[in-house]
Amino acid sequence: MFIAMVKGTVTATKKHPSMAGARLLIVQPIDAMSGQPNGFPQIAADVLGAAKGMRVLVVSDGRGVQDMLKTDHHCPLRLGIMALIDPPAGGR
Amino acid sequence: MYLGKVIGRIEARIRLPGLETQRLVLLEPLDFNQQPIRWTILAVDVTGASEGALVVYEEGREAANPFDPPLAVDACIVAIVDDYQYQA
Repeated sequence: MFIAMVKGTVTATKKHPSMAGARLLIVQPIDAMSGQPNGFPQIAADVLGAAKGMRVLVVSDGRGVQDMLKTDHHCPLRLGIMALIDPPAGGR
Repeated sequence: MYLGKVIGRIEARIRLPGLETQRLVLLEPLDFNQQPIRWTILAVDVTGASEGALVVYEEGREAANPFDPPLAVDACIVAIVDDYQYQA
C-alpha cells in the first residue's frame, strides 16, 4: 500500500461491470515522510468519496479491490483507495 | 490503473486457445497531459473502444481476471474515458 494525494477524477460510462459502484480518481503517490511526489500519477477505484487534495491510502492488489467493491475475481482492477488520511492536527 | 489511447488494432490468425475471439489493440500509455510516457503496448479490449479513444487500462496479473478460463494476457482495457479532470 502507499500514500497518495488525490489530483483529479476520471469519468467513464462504458467500463467493466465490476466497476459499477466505484468512482475513478487520479492519485499521485507521495513520500510518507516528506509528502513529496514520488512516482507517476495513476488511476484508483474509490468508494469512500475522497475529494481532490485529500491524502489517501491506496492498496495495489486486485484481491483488496475486489473485497472493497464487493465483486468477484473477474474484476480487472488493481488500485483501490482503502482509507482517507486525516489531515495533520493543524488541518489544511 | 493507467491512461492510454487506442492507436491501432492487431490481426493475428494463429493464437493461443481462448484468445481467438479477443480483440487485440495497440495502446499508447499517456500521462495526464496526454503525452506519451513509454513504449506502445498491446492489450486485450473488452470494452470495444474505437481507434483514437482514451481508455483506462490495467497492466499486470489482474488484467487476466475478466476471462474464464484466465487468458495469457497482462494488459487489458477496463474503461473508455468520457472525460477527466487533472491538476498536477
